[in-house]
Amino acid sequence: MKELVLKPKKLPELPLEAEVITPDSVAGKTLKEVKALPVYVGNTVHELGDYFDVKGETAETPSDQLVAIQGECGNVKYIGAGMTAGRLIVEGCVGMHAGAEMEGGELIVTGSASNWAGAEMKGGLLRIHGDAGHQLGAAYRGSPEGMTGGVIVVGGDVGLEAGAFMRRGMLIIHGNVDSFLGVHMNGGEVFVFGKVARRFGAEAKGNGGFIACFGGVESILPTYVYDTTFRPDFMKLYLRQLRDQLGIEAAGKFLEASFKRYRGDIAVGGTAEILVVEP
Amino acid sequence: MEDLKIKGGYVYDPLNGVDGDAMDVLISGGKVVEKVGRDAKVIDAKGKLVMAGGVDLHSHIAGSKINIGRLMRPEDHRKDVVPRTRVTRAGVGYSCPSTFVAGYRYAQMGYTAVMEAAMPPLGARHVHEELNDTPIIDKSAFTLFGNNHFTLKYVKEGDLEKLKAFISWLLRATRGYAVKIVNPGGVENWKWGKNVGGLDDLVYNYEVSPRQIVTMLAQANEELGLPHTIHLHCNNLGVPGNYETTIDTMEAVKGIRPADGRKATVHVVHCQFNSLDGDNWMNVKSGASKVAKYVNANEHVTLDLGQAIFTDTTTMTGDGPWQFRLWNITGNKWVNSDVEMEAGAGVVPYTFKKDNPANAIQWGIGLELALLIEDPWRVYMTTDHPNGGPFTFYPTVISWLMSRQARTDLMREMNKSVLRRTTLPNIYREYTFGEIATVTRAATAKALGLKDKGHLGIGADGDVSVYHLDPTAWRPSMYRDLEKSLARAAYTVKGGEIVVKDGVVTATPLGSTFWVDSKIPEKLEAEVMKEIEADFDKYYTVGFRNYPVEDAYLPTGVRMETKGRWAR
Ligand SMILES: [Zn+2]
Repeated sequence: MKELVLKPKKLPELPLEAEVITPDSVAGKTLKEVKALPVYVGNTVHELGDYFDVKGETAETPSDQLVAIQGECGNVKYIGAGMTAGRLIVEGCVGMHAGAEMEGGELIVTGSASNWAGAEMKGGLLRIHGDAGHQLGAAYRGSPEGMTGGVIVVGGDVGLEAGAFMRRGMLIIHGNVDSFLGVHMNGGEVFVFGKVARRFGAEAKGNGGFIACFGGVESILPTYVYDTTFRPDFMKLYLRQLRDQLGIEAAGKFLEASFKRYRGDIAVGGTAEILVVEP
Repeated sequence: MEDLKIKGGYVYDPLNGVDGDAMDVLISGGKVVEKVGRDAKVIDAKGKLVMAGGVDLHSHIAGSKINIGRLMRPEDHRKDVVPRTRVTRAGVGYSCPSTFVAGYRYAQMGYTAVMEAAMPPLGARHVHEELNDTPIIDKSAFTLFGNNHFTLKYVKEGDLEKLKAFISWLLRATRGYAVKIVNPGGVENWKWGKNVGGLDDLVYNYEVSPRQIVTMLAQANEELGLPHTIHLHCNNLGVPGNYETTIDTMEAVKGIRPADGRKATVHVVHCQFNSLDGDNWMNVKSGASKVAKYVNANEHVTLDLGQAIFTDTTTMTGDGPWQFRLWNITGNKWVNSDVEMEAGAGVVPYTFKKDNPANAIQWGIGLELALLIEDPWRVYMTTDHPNGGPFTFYPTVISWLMSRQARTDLMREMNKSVLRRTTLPNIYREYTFGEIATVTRAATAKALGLKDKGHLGIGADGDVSVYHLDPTAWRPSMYRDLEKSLARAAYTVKGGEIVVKDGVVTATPLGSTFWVDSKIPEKLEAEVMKEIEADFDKYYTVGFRNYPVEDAYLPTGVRMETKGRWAR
């Protein structure tokens, strides 16, 4: 892999919109061309080189490209949005829409991410070591489908409406989650090792989707109906894979756990499952 | 404005019997003329296709329905963002485009006049405000009558003269152009959670039938001599087996004497949705050949296609109960709109899919209608934008009409139902350029009674479209080139001004809004106004005097005066 290093210079006070920071848009370009990629501040267009020192090498194809951002980018939006291959590592925080609509490759954020990280993600791996904001992996307003593939792993806490309208894919959260996790979800898998706030799974339709809660729940919607306590084999397989493939150590502790199962949301005739680990 | 000479193009002007002759089109003072000055600006149209500006007689581009669509579909906008240029404003496109973008995109395809097909009277101001923000094209709006309290009241009383007076007044009050009827009686019953199932069901509390509503409105329309016939969205839209209702409805208005100068007494809209055979959505098949057979044998009917397009679009009609049914079928989002004494509407996003058997059949039905109805002066190309698909797909529809290969290539990718349950695979007809000019311009303008539009004779409006396409060299196998060149006009000229060059908007004048002023005999007017005012005081949320649209709302309004036949 060829490595390209971006170091933020003085960033503008307004958010910088930089969807060009992806392995896809830098691969196959010269450093000069990379520096000239367009970025937006309000309604004005600037060049990437105006705000970042650009060093290193570019690869022929995105899949051989590593892009490393060394510095805080909390006010830079759309980092890694739409990326399809390669690796993008941010040593620091990222602004809104990081990894939104990404289709493949790997985006790693060592700090925290703002709202809409991984929104409408289609594939690939998004790993956020810190916290994530609201609407993590959610559908943008109006869309019938949120995440349709890929995996998001968050080390810390997550805000409202994570996984809203989720259709497929996987969401793994180590910390606590605010309200409306998996609202309208229609497929996909969610694992939370922290505590889950109220109203999660509201209006979920099902389609094989579940929300597994390992760190307790604040309350379960009355439109979810308890049906059984069991020790599902599939969960053991999932947890082992999470531990071995993605390095989620927390998963390994629950291999033998049993779960209370609730089905809903019956308000919309849904068959989604909420699985709450038995203490 | 300088004179214009569109030089040496292959001109298709069916209304004047011009069929591909290489000739000049001369424009001065915004009109087609015999002679222009020596210093006229010259557009070199040699080897290019030249037609009058396109005239769309059924589209939804302004008012409450399309605005509900815009509000409920941010995802529709997100995928089609249009940046501003030096002469155009920023906006969004796709199925619910912003007003400005709608004007630009029609003009980019060579269209210069578009009719908004459903205006709820209480929403009239909103419609006109939006039309004023829809640049370049000329327009008009059709006022909804089919479920209006006063229509139902006068139909119940059987008072044709009062109905005529009411129509005249409401067209004037809303600055409307034509009598639009949507699911007559059904939308009123929807206010009680019900619908009508056929022409002879009754409307609650009024005890009148859709048959009575349609025939009496058609009778009134023709006696008033309005420029266009009634513009009718039939009962049972989207219900398999509905072709029977459609033919029954056409038959119901057969005996009515048309206004002077025309043979038609009804225009049936987006007929694709009303030509379904079968008992349910599982065994649905095409009823298009039966509808076409009827239309071929009966001169009093015109219709438009409402062609289905395989894309994600937004359905919006004044047919509240149908939109509820569609919500039940799809589970997509749904907005219902109730317009108190007058009308209703619903909006539901919908995606037509090639692999869906019913959608494949619907696609086939639209084309069957176009190809089986022999007289192009009576069947018009529309997608019922955005119900069948966005109007930006017109070039694609034209390629299907002109090229059997285009149809066959697509049918190969589609659900096989289209092969078995429509007659389309056995149809070899291909439209000529002259026929395309007819179904997109000449015939629509004629049906609308817009005498200066849709043709290039002396005195016609200086609305011309020029395309990068040599019709003498074109073959049906080149359908993709056809699509491309029709999507981006080489030139669009509006009122003698070049507004589009090579598919790029270069000027954005504000077009006219046509409306009909039908004179009512004085005594009758006084009597009917008294009755209307009394019901307004009792039931309306708007004061009678605050109701009519003021002239300020139509800065470019064009009044078209008509004098009807009155019995008293
Ligand atoms: Zn329509």
